Amino acid sequence: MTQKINRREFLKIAALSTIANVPTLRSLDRIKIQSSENAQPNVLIIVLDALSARHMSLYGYPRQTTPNIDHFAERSTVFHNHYSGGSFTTPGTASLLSGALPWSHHAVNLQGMVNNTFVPRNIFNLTPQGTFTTTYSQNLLAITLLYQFRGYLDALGMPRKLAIEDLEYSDRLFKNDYNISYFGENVILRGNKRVAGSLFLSPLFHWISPIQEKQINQTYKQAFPDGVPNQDYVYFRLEDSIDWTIEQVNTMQQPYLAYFHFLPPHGPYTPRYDFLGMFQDNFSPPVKPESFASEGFDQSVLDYNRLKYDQYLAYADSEFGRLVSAMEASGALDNTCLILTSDHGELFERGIRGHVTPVLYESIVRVPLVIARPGSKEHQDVFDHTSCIDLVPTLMHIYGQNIPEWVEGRILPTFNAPTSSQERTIFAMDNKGGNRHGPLTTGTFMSINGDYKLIHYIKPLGETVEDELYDLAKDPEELENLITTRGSTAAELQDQLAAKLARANQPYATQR
Amino acid sequence: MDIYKRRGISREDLLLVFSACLFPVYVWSFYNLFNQMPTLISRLDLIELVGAIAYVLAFALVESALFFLVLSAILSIFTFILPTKLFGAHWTAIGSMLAILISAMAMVIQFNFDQVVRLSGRRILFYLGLIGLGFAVVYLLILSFPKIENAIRAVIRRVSVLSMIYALIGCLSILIVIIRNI
Repeated sequence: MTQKINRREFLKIAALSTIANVPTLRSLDRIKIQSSENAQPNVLIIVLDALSARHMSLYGYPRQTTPNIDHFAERSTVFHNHYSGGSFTTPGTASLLSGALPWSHHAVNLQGMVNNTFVPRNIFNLTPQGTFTTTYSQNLLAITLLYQFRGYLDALGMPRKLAIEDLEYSDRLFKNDYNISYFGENVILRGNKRVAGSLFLSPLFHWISPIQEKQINQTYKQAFPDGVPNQDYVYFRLEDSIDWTIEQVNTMQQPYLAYFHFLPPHGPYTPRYDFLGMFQDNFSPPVKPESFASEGFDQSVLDYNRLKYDQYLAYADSEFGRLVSAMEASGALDNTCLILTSDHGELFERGIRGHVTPVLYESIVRVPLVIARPGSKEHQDVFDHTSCIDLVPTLMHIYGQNIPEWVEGRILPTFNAPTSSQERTIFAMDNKGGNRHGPLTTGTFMSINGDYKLIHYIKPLGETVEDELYDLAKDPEELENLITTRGSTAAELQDQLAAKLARANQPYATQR
Repeated sequence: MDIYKRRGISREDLLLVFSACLFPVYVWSFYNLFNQMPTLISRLDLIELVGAIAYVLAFALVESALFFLVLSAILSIFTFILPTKLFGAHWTAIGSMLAILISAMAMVIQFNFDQVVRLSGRRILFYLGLIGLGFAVVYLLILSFPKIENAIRAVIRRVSVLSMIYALIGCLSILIVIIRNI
């Protein structure tokens, strides 16, 4: 079937493809294949940002932070040793959506994007014909990636859609060129340490924004005494997002693949009033030695932040519980595969708070993965090591399609013939100073094989740091560095990592 | 325009003051762009980089134009209320110096933003008084010493060449922004 386009449309497409180099919604040829004859389930992926598995009661955390997720897990498959691809939203989300590790897709910087080769290599482009693909993200870094994939989406929800207030301007003024205009906006308005490209507007912005923030927080003070959940002057209530999700689930065209990325429990940790008094217990996490990347926070500050994070997580859990209840009540879970996961974790130890750090300890990289299959009432536990890059091949398996060669993940255990992960190595990395178009020559790399976890540093902060090796079975808190005592194990993992990294950097070899 | 003509202010005078407004705004934009360049280069390919730069430079042109309009409006008030001998005859020099001083002040504020927002009302009044005094001194110098006025005009005339190049880059940038948003 041919479709005539007029001169105006032709000029638009030509201009976009040659000069702007940006795809429009559904404007690109999709490499979709007809679905199998079986009824295709809906797939709803819920990402709770910065949700560390180590802080969830589901995975044995002493505080009851996730009673609703625990309840949801009773009918689901729970993956107990699941890892993100990176230490923050950009690499974590890009790996989740592409099935490839950061050293392949190169979305490694803050506000980074996947390299041009990987733009069509996303889960939305792989869904069977007729699948309604939709996304929403409250995280501005995730939206940068989703905007890159918009050519393969039927609907793309920008943060503003469900925001109480949004002090971004690019998404309002330059809807057809959000990503690049947002880079411009950052130079013009935000800059570096409040010194920005606009001589007059930037100081005004930096002066007015906190006043607006104060007003918003004042308006919602009763519900959120510590402040309204927000990221970079975009303010949300998770309740609104969950209400909207429930509405979407009931009204969306089916079958669908929906990816909804919600900010809590990502910092700033601002729990709702009814969660503020929680966890006034005597729980004290083990004190760990100061890291080379310590930000200088003492233990009391870290403990206080941990408490706030846990309360905020309990708030996110309650809202997730509300979603599950609504889906149960409407019968939506009978034909929907509901997946709960996260893009990365959060850390409150060794003088470090949060996740903007070059270290890759368990709290940062171990994330939840809970999958409720359509109509399932059975609970399963999987203790094999799995990675966020396994989601794409697993969905391909569910859709009955071939797994593309670029995918580095595997089909998750229990979805196909059971396999042991003992021989498998899980990787994660942090390369905030890396280059989208060049080899990765610095950063932190993690590999886990069997019980052993190697953290390999290549001048993460510009200086040489000694590698670390832990026996996760005997030492889950990563307290005893075995790098010298288990030299041969370390060398094996180091060699494997070096070979993998060299192969990943191969396409960029001529640029060095 | 007629009022300006009656007060002896030519199109060239307007253009020179516009140049004086445009120049610091662009210098500041370029300074920040170069500052952010490593961040941009590591994240964007060439076409995207050109696009991101275009947004910054297009905005700088708009900001310069707004700056000029506001400044002209202020200057117009004084052109009305003061005799030509005291103001209109020195319009270009006064306008240009005012543009440069306000820009310099904005730069100082940006570099010291955190301290500036913490200033008490009394301190702010003190600094505003000081700035006002500075303007008055510059005004009196221009009025009293023709050599200074001539020097200012000569400098601004030279700067205007660069400003026109910046304006051209700004126009090109606006074109790129429009194309990217079709």
